[in-house]
Order: sequence, then structure tokens, then C-alpha cells
Amino acid sequence: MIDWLNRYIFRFLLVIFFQVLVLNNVQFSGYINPYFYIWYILVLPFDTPGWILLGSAFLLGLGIDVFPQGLAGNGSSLGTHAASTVLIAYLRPTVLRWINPRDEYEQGTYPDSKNYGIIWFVTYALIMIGIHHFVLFFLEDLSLRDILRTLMRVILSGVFSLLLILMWEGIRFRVSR
Amino acid sequence: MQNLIRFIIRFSFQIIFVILEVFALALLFRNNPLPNARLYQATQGMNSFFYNQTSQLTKFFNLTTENAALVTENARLRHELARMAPLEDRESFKTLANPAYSYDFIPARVINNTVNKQNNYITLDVGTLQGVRPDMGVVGPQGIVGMVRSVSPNFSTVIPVLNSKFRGSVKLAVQGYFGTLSWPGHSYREAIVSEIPSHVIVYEGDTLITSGLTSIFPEGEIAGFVTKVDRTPAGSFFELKVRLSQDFKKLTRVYVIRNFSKTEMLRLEEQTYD
Repeated sequence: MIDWLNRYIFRFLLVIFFQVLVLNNVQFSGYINPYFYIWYILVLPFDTPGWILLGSAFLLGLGIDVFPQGLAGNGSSLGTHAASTVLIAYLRPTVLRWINPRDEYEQGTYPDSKNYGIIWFVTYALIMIGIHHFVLFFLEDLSLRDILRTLMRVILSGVFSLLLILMWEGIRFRVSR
Repeated sequence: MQNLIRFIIRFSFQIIFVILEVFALALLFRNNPLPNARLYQATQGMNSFFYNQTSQLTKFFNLTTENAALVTENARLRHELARMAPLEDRESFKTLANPAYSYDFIPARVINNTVNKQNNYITLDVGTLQGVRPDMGVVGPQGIVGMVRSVSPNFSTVIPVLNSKFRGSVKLAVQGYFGTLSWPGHSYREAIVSEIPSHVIVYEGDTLITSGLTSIFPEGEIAGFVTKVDRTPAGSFFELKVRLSQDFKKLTRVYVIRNFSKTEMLRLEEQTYD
């Protein structure tokens, strides 16, 4: 029960607060906006029911959408995070099948760096972050006018998101060991 | 019927996905702003609380730079006051200072601000209770900031120059020609001014000030400085690259500009156009 609460509820709140209160205030340059919160979707248990996976992704995205600019009613891009996060949640089972390390994922394990190794996790995170950031920044810009600049934002922000997620995975397992 | 139920169960994951995705995209591409406004109202109280707390905390770290900016501004104002003093007795000055044509400055604190999005917004801690209304201009200590978009009793949101929707009327301080200030979205220090007639001679470093034509800003608020003159070969207009005088990353204190003659002016103009 505690583990269930931790995985589904506490982490949900943790990533939203971390994203909204810390990362959204960190502005490296016009290009870089790390989005750490999708880590929550990455490490949900393998047997998470589909509706929880999609539903929590939607609420998570909406949470990020509503908070950062605080201007939902103001013609800002409400819905961008929700759309891109629901998409990666939907693609998660497919991606997990693609990069299946052996025949099957073992019972009682989680898709994280401790269970399946750092290389596997980087591949997995990179695919998911890539899809997420690509959709997110294109929805935000809503034009193909400055496609190179948008791609630049995808790549730079993606690298920072990946680094943050890997650092967090490192801290998490160093502490718990 | 049974087949339908079996279909729904079999494809429930896909169906939920489609529903949620469509809902998210509908939020984004909505034509009707109402549901958004509702959501906005519902969450705004909470947002304002958080932003207030955060800005209470960060306020202290900015005190030194803020002080320096205010001192500079004070010095400039004193300088202007000193220049005005000998004029005060003259009759012509009294006409100039006609209270019907005057501006009031409402001081405000920035409690949320972004510079790295395509459409940036600023939230201020003043609202209708302090006399703020939509479409009022906002200036910072170093130059123009933007215009008010929405207002609640205690807060207001601003479309800054750093928003693809922002358009401002500016003019070259020396040459006097008008142009439109907008933001191409690359850097938070750079904007462009378009529609300058091509026969005008412009030098790098020339100052751009507000034109006073739109009743949002009084004439003469500094907007920026020309960094590059971009003469496209054909066409009767050209573009200027401008360094914005206001550093939006350092923005903490701003003034909302209330124009007392605006309503009267707009009413007269409406009559004329009808």
C-alpha cells in the first residue's frame, strides 16, 4: 500500500512541484527548458493498468500546463504538455516492447536503471524524451516557420532533461542501497 | 451489442488515448475561450498564492540590483524635474499640463515572468482594485515592458514585448518616423521594428521611443536602440533590429500607465469612424 501510494501519488506531486517551482524558474537561455516531470511516466510499474497510465499522464500534463505561466485563460499554450505526455504514455508499452532486453520483462521489476541497467535506461529515456519534446515544442510553436530553431530547442532541452533524469536515478539508487 | 462491448474492452487503451488526446488538443486549438476562462479562474487563486510565496522569497536576492535600478531612475527623474522647473510659471506649460490629458503611473511588482517561451507572459500584483484595466501600457525602470491583457481584483497579466502577439507603435527619436515594434522570438534582448520608410537614414545606436499614437503609452518612453539596419533590396519599407532597453530578466518593479483621456479619445474616434 505504501509502495503503491509512493509510486502513484507522492511521485506525481513531487514531479509537479519540482517542475513548477524549480525547473520552470531556471532559464538557461532562450533554448533550454528541461522537463523532468516525464520521469514519472517512465518508471511506472510494468503492470500499470492502461487507464491509470493514460489518466495520470493526462493529469500530469494538465498540471504542468496550468501552473507554469499561470495564464491558462490567456491564449497561452494550455494543452501542450497534456497532449505530449498522453502521447508518450500511449506509446510506452510499444517502446518497451521495442527495446525489450531479453524475451520478457521479469515479474516484480520496474522499468528503471537499477533493474535493467544504465544503457537500457538511457535508450528508453532518450526515445521517450525525444518523442515528448518534439511534440511539445512543435505544439508550442504551432508553425513550421522556424523548424530549425524548434529542433534546436528539442535537442538542447532533451539533453538537459535526460541529464536531470539520470542524475535523479543516480541519487535515488545511491541513497536506497 | 455484445460485439460492441467486446470491441470497447479490447481497444479500451486506444479509446482512452484518443479521448484524452483529443481533449488535450481541443484545449489547445479551442475556438471558445470560455472553458479556459473557467479553468483559469479555478486555478488562479492557487497560482497566485504560489507565485506570491516564491516572489516573497526571491525578492531579497534581487534587492541590490533593484536598488541600483531605482536609484538610476530617480536620478533621471530628478534631472528631468530640474529641466522643467524654469518652465513651470509660463502660460504655455500650464496648457501642456492640462489634467484632462495626463497619465498616472500605478506601481506594481512582477510576481511571475518568463523570457524563454515563444509567447511569454508577466503577472503583476495589481488588479482592478488598484485601477488596472485591460490594454493599459506597462513600463519598467529601463523602458517599455508590454500591455495589460487580463485583470482580476488583485492581479493582472501582461503581454510583454517578448510575445509573438505584441505590437507596439514606436518612432525614431531623432528622425521622427514611425514603425511597428514586434518580437521575432530569438533572444529576449532583441526585437525588430518594421515599416520604416526606405528613404530614412538610420544609424546603429539610434534611439527608438514610443510614438504616443496608440494612447497606451505616453510619447517618449524608451523602447530600444538600433543594432542593425536591414535594408531588403526591393520594397519601400525596411526593418531595424533593435536591442530592447528593458532587460526582461531583471524585471521586478514596473509601472502600469493609466491614461485619463483614453475613454474620451476613443469615443470621439469611434464617432468619427462611424
